[in-house]
Amino acid sequence: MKHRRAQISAFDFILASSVSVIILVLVAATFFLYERKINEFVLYNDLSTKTFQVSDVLIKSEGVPSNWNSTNVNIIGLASEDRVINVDKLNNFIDLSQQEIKDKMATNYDIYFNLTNITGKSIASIGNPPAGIRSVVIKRYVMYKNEEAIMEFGLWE
Amino acid sequence: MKKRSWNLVYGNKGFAFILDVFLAILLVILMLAASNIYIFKNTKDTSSNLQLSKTGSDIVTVLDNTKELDTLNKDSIEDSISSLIPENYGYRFNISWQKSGEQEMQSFEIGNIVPNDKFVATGKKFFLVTNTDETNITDYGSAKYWIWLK
Repeated sequence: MKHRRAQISAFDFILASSVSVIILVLVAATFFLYERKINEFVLYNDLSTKTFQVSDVLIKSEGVPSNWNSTNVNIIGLASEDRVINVDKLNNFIDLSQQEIKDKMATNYDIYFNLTNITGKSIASIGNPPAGIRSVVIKRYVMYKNEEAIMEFGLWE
Repeated sequence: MKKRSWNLVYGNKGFAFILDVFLAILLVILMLAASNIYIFKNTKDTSSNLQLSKTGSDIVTVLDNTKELDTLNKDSIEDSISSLIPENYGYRFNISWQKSGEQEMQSFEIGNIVPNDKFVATGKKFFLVTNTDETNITDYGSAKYWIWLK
């Protein structure tokens, strides 16, 4: 009975295995590198979206209830009309603690709020300027006591 | 001692499919490059563009709230815009209005030429011009803006 023998090209096998391993390592490294990058992007995007949304509510909405104060507020809004900051609501806002503000805004991020006039003189301020690993601070133009003002609002962690 | 030759079709010589290896590596590199480009393009920060858009909307609203738009005066409106808008922002405003009961539209423009090689935030706000005691509407106006980073 004739024996049949298979042929193994050893050099070819070693070369192919080496190339396969190198490619697998490249793919795995790329996967882990970009998974981290994408996660970071998602977290930053979430922070950015919340910052813009909350700033919109602050300067466009009267809040809920519309005559809210520090004891009955459900949603914080500082406006008496679109982009006009109400003096009493601003004072009520400053009276709230940072944790109360975070609870009402439904966020765990730290808050930075600073209202200044056009020349930069501070009118009201809450929280510290961002000093964490991730932050978004935006500027919105508003009216306060019939004068143009700038509201800086930021979330950070 | 002579090395024994295997009794096989090609003896004891193997062969490598170099072309196959090359094509396989090329395919993998192309796929990795495509995924890199895709991820790079889609993880760009867009908050600066959103800030531009919000700034434009805020400025037009503030001009409306201060009744500056009601003046329909080019120089006065231009001075107000210049005092508000950040220095690193380019802008163009188009103020158009139509007197109540008339068909003719009037307009003027303020600012620089809108670039076409970068992101430009744009928007439009409609406003009413009333008489002094706000009992009659005298003009129907619109303010369109374009804002970009210089």
